[in-house]
Amino acid sequence: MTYTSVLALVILRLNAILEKIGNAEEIRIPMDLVVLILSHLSLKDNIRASSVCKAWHKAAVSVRRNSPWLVYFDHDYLTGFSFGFYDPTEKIKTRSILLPNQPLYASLCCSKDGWLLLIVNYQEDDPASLVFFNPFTRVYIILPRLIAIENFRADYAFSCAPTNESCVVCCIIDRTEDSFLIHTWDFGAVEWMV
Amino acid sequence: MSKKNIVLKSSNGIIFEVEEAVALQSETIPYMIEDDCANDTIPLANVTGDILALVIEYCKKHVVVADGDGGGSSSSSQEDLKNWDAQFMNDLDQSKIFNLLLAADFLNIKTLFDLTCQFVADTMIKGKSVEEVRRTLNIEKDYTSEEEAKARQENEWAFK
Repeated sequence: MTYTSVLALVILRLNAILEKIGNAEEIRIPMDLVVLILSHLSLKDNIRASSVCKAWHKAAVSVRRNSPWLVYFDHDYLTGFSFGFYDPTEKIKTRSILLPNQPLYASLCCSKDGWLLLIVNYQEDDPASLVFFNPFTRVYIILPRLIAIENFRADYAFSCAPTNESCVVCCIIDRTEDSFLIHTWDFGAVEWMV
Repeated sequence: MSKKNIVLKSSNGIIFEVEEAVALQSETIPYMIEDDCANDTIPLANVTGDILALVIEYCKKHVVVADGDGGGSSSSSQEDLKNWDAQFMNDLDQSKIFNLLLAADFLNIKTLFDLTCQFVADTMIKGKSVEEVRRTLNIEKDYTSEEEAKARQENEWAFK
């Protein structure tokens, strides 16, 4: 092969590459169409798409469907406690995820603003504890010890997300016809008030 | 139905002659006919010949079925049409798909536009990692690594 024919081949190849680059730039989709494409995605894909770039983030958030999800709990003697979500609009269940730090026992007291209040027990001889758990970020907040937790008829409620300074957790026990006992926990407090 | 023909001209000067019913699936073309009634040829400055050929192929397929359904719609023809649509999209490369999307938008052919949107969403974004989407669609990451990590942390479950 002569020098010139090699050179000609190289130039041909370069042209092909340049053409490809040119084509790639040519087919940028306008943002208003990206919005419409993203509106065809499920919530999970929508969230993934939102971290592609800043413009996509804006587009994805604008068409994000905010239908409520149901959380479900599951227990399997082999694998332990797990949770997952059910999307009623798409009628799909997400894969179940094991609770972190695998507790021996876990039960759900109540939920609000995306947070779950759980009673969990990690070790056989340890008393159970109240724990806030955010299933999306997987953040755990362990509350101070509460004796009333041993009472199976206790009811729980909390005012807002436990990351908010005005959060108050309430536990009602010993309900009779004319009396009951309330324990409350304020954000950041080290113990419960009776 | 009158068998009036309409002449369409692509941006690179290729002429297509189609039945009126085929062309009128585009909601843009009737306006162009009204505005340009003196001239029989409708120039489509945004659509190249190869893409226009695809659009016409799609419209021809869909107009025939719309006619056939006149008596009583049979589910098998709907099913066939769906399969045909899937095959039609599958045979295209990425650049053709994007150009088809732009053409469907410009010509305002709702069913074709929805089809291409759904196809792009299903094949290029759905179930793909963020990096794959960037690579496929040639999008530059304009997040800093910290910003990206923070955004992911907020919705960690979606990235598992």
